[in-house]
Amino acid sequence: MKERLAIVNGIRSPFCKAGTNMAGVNADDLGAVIVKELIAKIDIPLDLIDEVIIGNVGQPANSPNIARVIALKAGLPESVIAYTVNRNCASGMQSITTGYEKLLAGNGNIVIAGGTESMSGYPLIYGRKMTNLFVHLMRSKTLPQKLSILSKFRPSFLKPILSIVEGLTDPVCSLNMGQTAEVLAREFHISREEQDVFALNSHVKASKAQQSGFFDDEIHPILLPPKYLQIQKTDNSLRHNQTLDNLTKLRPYFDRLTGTVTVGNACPVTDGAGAVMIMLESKAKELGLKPLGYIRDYAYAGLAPNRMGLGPIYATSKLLDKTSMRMSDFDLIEINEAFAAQVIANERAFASKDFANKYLNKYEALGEIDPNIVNINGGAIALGHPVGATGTRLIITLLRSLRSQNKNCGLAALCVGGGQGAAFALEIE
Amino acid sequence: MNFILDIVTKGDNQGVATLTFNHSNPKINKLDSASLSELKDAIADLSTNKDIKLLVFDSSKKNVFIAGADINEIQGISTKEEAADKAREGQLIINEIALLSFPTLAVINGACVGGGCELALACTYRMASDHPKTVIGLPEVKLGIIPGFGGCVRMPRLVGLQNALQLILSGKLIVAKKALRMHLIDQIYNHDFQKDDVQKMITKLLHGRSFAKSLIKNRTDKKSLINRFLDDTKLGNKFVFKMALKNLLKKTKGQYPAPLQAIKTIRKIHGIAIDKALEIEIDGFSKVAITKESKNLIQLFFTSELISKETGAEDKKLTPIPLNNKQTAVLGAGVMGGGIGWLFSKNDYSIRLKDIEWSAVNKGYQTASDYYIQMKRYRKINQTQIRNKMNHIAGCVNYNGFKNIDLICEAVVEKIEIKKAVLAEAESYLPEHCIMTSNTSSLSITEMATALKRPKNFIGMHFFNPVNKMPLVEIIPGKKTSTQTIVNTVSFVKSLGKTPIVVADCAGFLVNRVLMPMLNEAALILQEGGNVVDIDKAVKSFGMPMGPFILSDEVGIDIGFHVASILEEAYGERMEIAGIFRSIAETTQFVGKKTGSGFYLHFSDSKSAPIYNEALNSIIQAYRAENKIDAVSFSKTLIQQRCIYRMLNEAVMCLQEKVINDPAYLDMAMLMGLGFPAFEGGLLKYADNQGLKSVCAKLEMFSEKYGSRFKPAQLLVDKVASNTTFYEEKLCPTKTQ
Repeated sequence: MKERLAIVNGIRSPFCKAGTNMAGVNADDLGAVIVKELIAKIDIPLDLIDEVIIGNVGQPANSPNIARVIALKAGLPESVIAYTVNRNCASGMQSITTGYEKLLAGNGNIVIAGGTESMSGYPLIYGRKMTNLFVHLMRSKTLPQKLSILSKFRPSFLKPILSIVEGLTDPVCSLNMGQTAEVLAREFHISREEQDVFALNSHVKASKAQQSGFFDDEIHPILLPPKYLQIQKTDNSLRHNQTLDNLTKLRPYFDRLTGTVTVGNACPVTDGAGAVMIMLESKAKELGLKPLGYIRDYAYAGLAPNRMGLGPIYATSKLLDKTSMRMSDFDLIEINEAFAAQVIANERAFASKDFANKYLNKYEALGEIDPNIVNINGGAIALGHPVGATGTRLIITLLRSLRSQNKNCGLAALCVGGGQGAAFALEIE
Repeated sequence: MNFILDIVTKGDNQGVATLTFNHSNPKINKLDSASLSELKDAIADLSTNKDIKLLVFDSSKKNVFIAGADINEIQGISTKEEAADKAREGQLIINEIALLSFPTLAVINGACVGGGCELALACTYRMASDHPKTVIGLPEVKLGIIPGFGGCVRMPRLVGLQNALQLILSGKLIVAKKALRMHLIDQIYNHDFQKDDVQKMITKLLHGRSFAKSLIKNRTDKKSLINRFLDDTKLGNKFVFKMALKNLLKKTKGQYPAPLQAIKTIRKIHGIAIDKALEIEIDGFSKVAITKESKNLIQLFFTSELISKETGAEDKKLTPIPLNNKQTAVLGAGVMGGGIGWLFSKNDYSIRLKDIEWSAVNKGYQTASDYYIQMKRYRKINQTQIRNKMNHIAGCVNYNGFKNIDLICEAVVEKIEIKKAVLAEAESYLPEHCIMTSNTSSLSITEMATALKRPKNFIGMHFFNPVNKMPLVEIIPGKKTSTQTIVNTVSFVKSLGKTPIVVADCAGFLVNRVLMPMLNEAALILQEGGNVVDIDKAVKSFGMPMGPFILSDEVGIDIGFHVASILEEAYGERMEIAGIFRSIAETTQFVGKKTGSGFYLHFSDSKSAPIYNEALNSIIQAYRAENKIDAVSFSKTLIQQRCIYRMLNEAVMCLQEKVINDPAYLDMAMLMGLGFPAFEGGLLKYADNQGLKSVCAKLEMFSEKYGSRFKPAQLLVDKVASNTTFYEEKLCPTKTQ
């Protein structure tokens, strides 16, 4: 068996609904604050750090290789190398496993892995026609040439392409993410009511966790530029007074006529960042550090893009095979809540022998999941899903949940747009 | 030899003479008497040489073309005739260059300043390197003089009247790019390819007649209609001179004679024949070169040169140890903490800005971001850079990360018990080598150090508010502070672009100790019958940047009162707080600018000036009635004298008690910390200029009339008895540059 990966510690920014309080903070600045603060929290000399790996999906045009920008802005020495990874929604996890693999291969000792996303910052883009017009205009030299090109302009050229819509639409199956959730709702026959109840629960659990101060130790407050009049200390998309009534009133968003998925039972687009410091277990021992927890193993799996929401079960199946673990070994489970329908679909699939036979090449069902151990402090429907950073949050939150419950073993799983899944086996001791 | 002359007699460059400035001073070139006379001979020789087709001037010194005339020689001028001779000597030689029968080219490869710039102006062509240290300009007015080697004559003819006035009146130095834009130079070249680029230029000048013509034509081309009108018509000129004078008076209040003289001279010579113009320039130069303002400004220049070389220790071999990783922390995120955070981050130190609560930390960020936005307004920084610099600041409410901090600055509330507790707590988290500093404005460093385990690492580092504007930092070693700590801190402060001055650990240190008596004296005059507006006006017209009451409002009456109380406790009777100040402070309703009302009412929009706060009248009247004071009125001169002499006396006491050892340094501290007018040269220089005997007599008279706080300091009495001055032993310090 390979050596475990120590998660020495981890923190994250508050998660804020896109376009709200943290909209003015750039993804690189947000990441830099968190990375800097993480290092301060652990308080080891900067020159011990070998590499910074950051997951980021919608990389801002002004921060190419955002990981390097973050490393420098966080005050790390210029000699520290950095690069950016993108496995869509699993990018935060990818940063950790990429680091893990490098450490196992003997490339470095200490890595900062994290994720950052400013979905508020996703730009509007000029369409091809307008872009061409600009190109020709710049190439033209004389005034008549310029005028002739300008005369070809039509107001429709100004219609922007919303990069966030493009990003959330699968280019292969042509469905957007919400529509893939509708596919699962149909396949697993998940009613609108079930989805709304699930969403309500997420808010109730998250609200309780926030009010009990559970998140205080994992969130580092963000001071809000440009004027610094306010400080963001908490996740702002969860609703303390969420009622089923209010959820029921919402119209389906992705399939307006016959659909079941609403903005209320889906996760919001979000700004946020998170980071962990990782090293092999032996290195942590050598430095006398007491890690937050360990990664025992992990797996990524691929599946049909239009059923991407089932990623968790595909990946978990692979993870169990790899580790010879059983579902009953896990004391707590985090499954990222991209959509209520998608998590419920996974729960059903985990319990289904048919599903195991048909899709996982297994004789028995993977194992029923006790809903009471899933996402005990709420999930992305309440807390938000900054795509690059969610993976990082799942790991941090699950390890801290295990600690708070005096439990040892956890499963963190996540679905990935484009048709993939990720699953991590975590341990405290 | 101060020059190297090389004449090429064969090959492609045949007929090219190169005169390389190579002053015996290892670092710079300057036009002192010796090199001028040498230059004279060289030019005379060359002028008769029929083989020369082009004369090139360049310099052998790194980053210096010619740094100007010899300031020591200017400082030594005592009569008008002497001044005229001095200027004429250089002016004639430079004019000879202009009169040469072959073309000349100045290759400006570094600072080209004052006399150096005037020499370049006399050349036919100028090219300058794009290195940031290659700066060009005529900063003479900063030393209280005007260009005297033809600069007043040639600059307007070359770059136009508007540009010339701007350069000469401000004394600002410009980089090559800007010089090219105003056609002060004809070409800019790549500093790292100097040899190639200069050769190309020489080849073109030797072989292309049309090229040379086009260079000259370029200078006048592309001038906008409005600039043609302003630069090249009589009416336009008249308007330009009028506006220049108006702006100048607004800025200097007419207290600096040199720029005024510059306007006068340029107006007189604009458009007349060059020989006559040069004579008029000499006349103007000699008028200002003997003024006391010029002597004062030159003394200050020498002092600042000296201070920039100070290490803070007697033992010059002790070298500063730079901060390991540039990791710093500031405790307390108030206005000062935020300002210090701004300063550290601007200079690329990583800083942890700690306070007890996040809301307080946010306040610190506001101050820092405010200062950056001010910079942005002047285009000294852009938004991307601001984001980058702000990222150097990490707000926090705990001691995370303190294990790796190299220097901290404490800027919490001015209460010694709190400061001690905060410092002691922080110390337990900090590494052994960390320098701990306090930004206290008046509390004892030695006393604070008693709370610490490593007092040798502890020192006072007093910044002034607002941090982004005030250049001075008082460095205050305590009894147990190690010399290494002093040296390190001095060097650190220099790295921030500020001026550190080491002073002794006494209440109020140097600047506040001298300032506070003035504020108090103003309050005494107020209670005796003066009024706020007149007192402020009088002190301001002396040359101080603002009057005592508006200053109190800026600082905050509560803070001012707090400091005054500390000084009163330390120095007793002579610092006894004026009753009216106490009455106003104790109402607590008037705090100053931060709440909108103090001695003045302040308005949130920056355009409306503060107006006197009428609500104070009743307090003042009540106070006078209660203490049976018959209000008398005070003349402007009397107000000025009471305020300034009170400061003066305290400054002498500081010198006497060795709070600071060098009178010139004390004066520089007054200049930078209080904004004491530069044309007066500083408090002690002012006293010297007034005559110590008369100063002493005046103090004695005041002492009898107004109280013993005016009793002349013993050192002053001694100086009068021995008939010496504060500056008498100070020689021109840069003689051996």
